[in-house]
Amino acid sequence: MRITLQKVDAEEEEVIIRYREMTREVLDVVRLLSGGGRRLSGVKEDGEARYYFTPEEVYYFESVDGRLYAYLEKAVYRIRESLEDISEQYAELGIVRCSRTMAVNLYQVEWLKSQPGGRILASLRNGENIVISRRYAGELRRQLRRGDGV
Amino acid sequence: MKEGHEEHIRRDWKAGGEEVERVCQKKNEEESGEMRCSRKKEKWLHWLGTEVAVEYKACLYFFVILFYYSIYQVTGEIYTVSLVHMMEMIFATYGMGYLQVLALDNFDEAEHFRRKELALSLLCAALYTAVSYLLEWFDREVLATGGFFIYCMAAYGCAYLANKWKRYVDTKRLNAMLRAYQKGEKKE
Repeated sequence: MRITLQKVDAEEEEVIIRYREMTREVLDVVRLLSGGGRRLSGVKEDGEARYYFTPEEVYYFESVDGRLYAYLEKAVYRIRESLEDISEQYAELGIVRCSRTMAVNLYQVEWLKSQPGGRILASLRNGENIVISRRYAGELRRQLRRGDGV
Repeated sequence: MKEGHEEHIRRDWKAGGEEVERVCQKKNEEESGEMRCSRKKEKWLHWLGTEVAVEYKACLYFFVILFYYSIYQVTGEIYTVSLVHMMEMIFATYGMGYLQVLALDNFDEAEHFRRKELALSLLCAALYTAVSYLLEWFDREVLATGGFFIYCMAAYGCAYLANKWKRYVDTKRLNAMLRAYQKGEKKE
């Protein structure tokens, strides 16, 4: 991607993106420029400091005892949002519900394997395996067929 | 913007930590009624899923048994089938379907066909054979009944292979869709 910068004196600041195809890279630039970069905040189990991270960094979300945890590569944070809110708000970022208590980030999935009973096994980039229940397997397939909304 | 919604944002902005927690808690309490309905709906869906699995198996194995029965009839130069026998067969496959799905781990859809699956398929084939002998589907002919036992074993083997192949194809398709999704390509 070639980047050209042009200083203007009085005119309104403007960004023009020329693209042949709307790829994920281009979409990321658009989101960043339009202020659509979303951040989540969470606390570790010790509950002291608050950490900020993007939904893209999360491997999966899991609800335990009414609390929602975000699992990143090297840390786990408790967040305030509900699993339903996360799945709805970040669906276009690849967050899809995989069971009653979990939602997985499709961009962190290494491979999928069809299992007996209509379930799907998802292997994540951090080596963990998650089972997508039969009920949510259909939703996963619909999401994959839809694409990422580009 | 609705009044309630505006108030929520004002509280959020002014108060900070404590106020936000209280608002969140209120929302969670309202959701608990919805959660109960959702659980009932999930139980219903789970039950429905089990029923569908049983009926699918019952129909599949009914036609498998009916095929053997038809061959037996034709080799005896009889070109009709007994409706009573057909009714017995469907009830037998229904009962066996419940047994397979609820108690025997759905062994014909298992990931691997090992000792446990072999033992369970032997058990089910033996049960079908016993029922066929008792209800005189094959006139209690030893050869035909023995052949039926081997046929049932073969049917379970074929069902296992067919399901395994189906999952293999599905896995390939899922991963192709996943790659395309991650690359940001739109699929129809």
